[in-house]
Amino acid sequence: MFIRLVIVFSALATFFLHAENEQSKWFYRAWQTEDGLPDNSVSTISQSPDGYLWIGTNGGVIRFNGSEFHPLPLRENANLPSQQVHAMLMDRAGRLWLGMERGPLVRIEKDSSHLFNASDGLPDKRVDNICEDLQGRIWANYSGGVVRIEGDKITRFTKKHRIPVGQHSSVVCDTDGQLWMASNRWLGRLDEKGHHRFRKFKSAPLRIAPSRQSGLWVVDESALLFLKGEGKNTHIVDLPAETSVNTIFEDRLGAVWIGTQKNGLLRVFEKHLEKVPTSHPWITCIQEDQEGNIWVGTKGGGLNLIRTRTATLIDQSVGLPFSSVRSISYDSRGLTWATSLDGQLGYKKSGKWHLFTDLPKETFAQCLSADSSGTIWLGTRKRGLFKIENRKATPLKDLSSGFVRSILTATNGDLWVSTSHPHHLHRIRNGEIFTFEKPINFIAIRAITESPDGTIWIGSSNGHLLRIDGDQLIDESAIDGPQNLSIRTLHSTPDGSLWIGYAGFGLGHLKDGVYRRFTTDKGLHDDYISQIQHDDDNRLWILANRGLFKINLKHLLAESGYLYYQFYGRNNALPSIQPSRDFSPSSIQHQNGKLYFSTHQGLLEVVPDHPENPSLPPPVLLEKITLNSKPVALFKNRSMLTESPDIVDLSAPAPQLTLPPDHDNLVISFAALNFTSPENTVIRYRLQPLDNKWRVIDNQNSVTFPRLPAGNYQFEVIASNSSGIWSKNGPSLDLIVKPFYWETWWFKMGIGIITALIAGGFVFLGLRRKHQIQLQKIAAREALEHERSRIARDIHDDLGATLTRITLLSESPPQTADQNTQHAFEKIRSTTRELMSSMDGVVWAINPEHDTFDDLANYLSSYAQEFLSVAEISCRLTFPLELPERRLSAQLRHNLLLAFKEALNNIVKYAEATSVRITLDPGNGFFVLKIQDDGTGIDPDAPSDPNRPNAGKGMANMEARMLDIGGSCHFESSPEQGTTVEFNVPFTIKS
Amino acid sequence: MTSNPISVSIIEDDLSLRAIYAEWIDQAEDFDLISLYENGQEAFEGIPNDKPDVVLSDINLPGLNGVECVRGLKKTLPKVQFVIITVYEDSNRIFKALEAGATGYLLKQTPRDRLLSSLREVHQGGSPMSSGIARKVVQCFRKTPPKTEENELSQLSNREEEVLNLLAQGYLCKEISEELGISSHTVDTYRRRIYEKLHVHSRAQATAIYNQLKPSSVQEPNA
Repeated sequence: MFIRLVIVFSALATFFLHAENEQSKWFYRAWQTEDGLPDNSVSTISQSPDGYLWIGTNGGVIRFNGSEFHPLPLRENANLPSQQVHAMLMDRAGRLWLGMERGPLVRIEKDSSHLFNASDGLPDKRVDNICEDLQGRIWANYSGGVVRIEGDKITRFTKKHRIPVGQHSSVVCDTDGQLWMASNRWLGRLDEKGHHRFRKFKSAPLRIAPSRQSGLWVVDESALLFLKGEGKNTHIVDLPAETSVNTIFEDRLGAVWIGTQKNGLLRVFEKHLEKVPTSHPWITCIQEDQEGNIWVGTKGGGLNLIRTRTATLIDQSVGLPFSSVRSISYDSRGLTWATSLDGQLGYKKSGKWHLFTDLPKETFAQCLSADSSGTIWLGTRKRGLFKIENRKATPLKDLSSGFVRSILTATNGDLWVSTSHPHHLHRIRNGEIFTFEKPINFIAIRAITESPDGTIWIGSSNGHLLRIDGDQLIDESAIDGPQNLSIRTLHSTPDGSLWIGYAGFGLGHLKDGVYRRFTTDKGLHDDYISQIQHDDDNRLWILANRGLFKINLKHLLAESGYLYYQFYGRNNALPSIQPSRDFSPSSIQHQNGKLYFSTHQGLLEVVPDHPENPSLPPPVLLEKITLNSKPVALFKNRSMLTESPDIVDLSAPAPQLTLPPDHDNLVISFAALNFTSPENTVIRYRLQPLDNKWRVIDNQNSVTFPRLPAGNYQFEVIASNSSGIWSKNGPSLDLIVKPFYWETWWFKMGIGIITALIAGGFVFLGLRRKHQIQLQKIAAREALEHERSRIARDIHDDLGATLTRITLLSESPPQTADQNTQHAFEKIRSTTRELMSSMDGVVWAINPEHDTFDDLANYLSSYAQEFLSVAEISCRLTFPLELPERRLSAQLRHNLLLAFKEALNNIVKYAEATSVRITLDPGNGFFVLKIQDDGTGIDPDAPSDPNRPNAGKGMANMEARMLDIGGSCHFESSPEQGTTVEFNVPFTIKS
Repeated sequence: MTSNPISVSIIEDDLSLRAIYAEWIDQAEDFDLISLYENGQEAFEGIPNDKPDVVLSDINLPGLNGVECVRGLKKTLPKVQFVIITVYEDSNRIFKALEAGATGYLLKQTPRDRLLSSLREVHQGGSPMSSGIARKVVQCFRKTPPKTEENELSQLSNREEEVLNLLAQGYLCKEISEELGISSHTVDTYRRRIYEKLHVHSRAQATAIYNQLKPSSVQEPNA
């Protein structure tokens, strides 16, 4: 009896410990003032039918698109005593109601807003909540009064209607249309005649919420109750003692979320209570969005999005007995076994991890695999293979090396073992060891897999892929050509595919003799692939240097041209992870359906999530259009912005924007309202008739167009979720570019009629052709800009990094170097620096990002300052702060920069100047750049100086540069006043 | 006067550059190299624990880029100084990093001694600013002066504005101290404060831009 009791107690203790150690499957993402929220006290959250979230805070209301907060201009509405929002409601007609501090209500409609305040008979008290009944009437609840709004008609209910006086009361409407009011301890019904007491509860203030299944949720005395009709209260679950509740919400799954004052967020589902982490323990409001995400407002911790974890890192804080994992397997009883990077062996039994200590001293465990009979095969670093049965380890000698790298227990009972030092592959069948002949010189075999037909494949770190055929190894390395890509991992899927994870070369796929390789160039998340698994929903889970990602096999193998993957990282509350590699097996699919991956930080557990609902691509909206940085169109719905003819409303159906012929720099911004995984959303756009195909935009929410020729265009944008499901109808915008007068029909007609008589309409046809050519040109220009950006980036990233390396490496010659070597090093250093400096100019000039006048000014000023300060010449810049918005071509910037450098070079080399003054003066259609020094001047009559044979050449160079861009160049010089060089440059180059 | 060595973390994705910088800093007596990161994500997780005095960070990083990394880390670590290293003097990128909270920048090819002395300077409160950058800073402050509470904190004082204008006109630190008759240490202090205010200002600006658009007047009741 006594013994039995002890067992019961210890089991209980383990259970509690386990519960304590278990990580919550929930996590939150928070947005706070640092992210653009006006105040960290969020009082209320709503979503409009178009997908935007609306957040009420102590500092006003903001519209949220998942990344940016756009405040509503409430401040400008004179009669509001405060911006503080207490209550909010999105009614079924799509109108947004705000309940403000000190009583006013604001109703925001599509393009208007209406204020109700004390002069309409509203109480001068705070609004506690707003609700809508089934007839579409709005009920606002104040302490000591209720107001009903029907159209613009206001009915006030007061003490006369038996409305109880109580703070933090609430009015809700249940699914049958009954209005309920909770005030102090009383629950009552509310109708035309007023308040009717229904039932008294024990604690105050009473909290209620409507249930989706006709009834009310009530929290009384720290317990959640369910109330249906006239019936009794059903006790659902006890909450932690002394819990003060602020708000209750039932989601579409039927889970009840409870926001408390000090105990954070609680969730009740099927009578099970759990605590959900949030950024602050005081929860003010809870809301569910159209995708089913739960949003929570806190008093001090900002806005929280509540998510479930797909991947969880199991580390020492939750009971793993070591800090890292190298190899993982599970035995026939379902026990999970793992080795650590420092050579320890552990197993998990009844939810708890234990170290396996029954190994000879100084045995360094490396990799392990369990067979179907329950035996664990353990590979070690120096002592070869061990067989573990019934917790007893027996060494198995006779392998060609004591260093075991990979183990696989095949379905037919064969045991496959690879060793290193020397590198060999062994098969153990019925206790007999067979060592394979090496057809090629492979080294470390770090990957072994068995395909569904029983074929064994092995992969080596020096890039050999081999297949077992009887007692022979067949070299299949040639599938990817002669280069032998280093293999990190192999994985087979039930369809018969072999998946190959390469070190730096992406993912290989071999099926029925057909081979393909996917890389980052084709949209793969990372090229360094360490571990691969699959789940029961036909998806690959890949652990790479840059983290965990998931690919749908259907999409991967379709010829869609773009890879859709979903990344699990910080968005899933995962820290940065370093995958373990070089040993096998390093990842498994457990019989419980979970996937396990070995990492330097612990064990990564993945519970494959349900495939996304394919009918839900993210809604995408056009948000803003600017022309030369001035907004010309905005998404106005509920924005409280005026109906102004200058600004087109993008929320209207089929918006239309007319652009002047000389427009420049058109920027179209949009938002894909996907809150579940914004980082996995892909956006595409096209501008017809320029683009016939969709163009993909990565990590951006806007596109920029250069000047468009006259004509009619249609801009369209669509978005997809990570499953590659595209929105069917994205928003579209008609763009009408007005023609210059010589492009107008009357002009063309006029010319056409006149010239038809003379020249048979040649000019008219010519103009039409010119127009078509122009269209082609603009498409080509866009493509060219893309290409230029790419080249600039490549030069910057690759060439720049390499040159930097050279300069830094030549910085420290070996200690033993003699003087000549030192000198050579110095020469390398200075030459590379010069090269980098001129490349800097080239990169700057060709990159279309830098095509503004302002950019030119910034670049010239920084360059001049740096260059002259080295020569100890003082530099004064007179550049206007406000420069006209002009786009300067790469050709112009390149030539001007070189001429400018030449001028400065001359000063430093020859002028003996102490100061230089540089002036930039924008004119109409052109600008002037003037460089004045106080040096010795150039004497045109002086005999040619043998020391400066190229003196005249520099000037000729500058002149040639200017000529190239249609500009001119003037020199003025005297021994008293030094030299002035003046560049006269037109903004656009006439060809 | 002996002081504690300056502790430094490095974020650089290029292996050999990282190794070179690490060696330079590790060998300098008054520096203490405490951590190395090869990407922004790792740095973002690790640096809050390291709490270095100065972080030397590349701009172009795989995954989370240098600017975002600085923006995120500066929030929680206001005392840590971030110095951006870049291959080319690209004022747009550098400015973005400064807005995000960096207080200095260096070209990657900067020789060893100059790199170390610049890090010392930043640690002691200096903040280099070229004329091109100064121009952008002036423009940034001029663009939006919304009168929110937060923004008042980020208004420049007269003296700071004066220093900033001289910087934009190409004056060097030494020349400004002569021109205004103040020590160059004081000029340094002004520059550092300008950066700090820039950081606050650009945050306020982001939210203020939408406020600028003309709102509709709410229909008055009984009207």
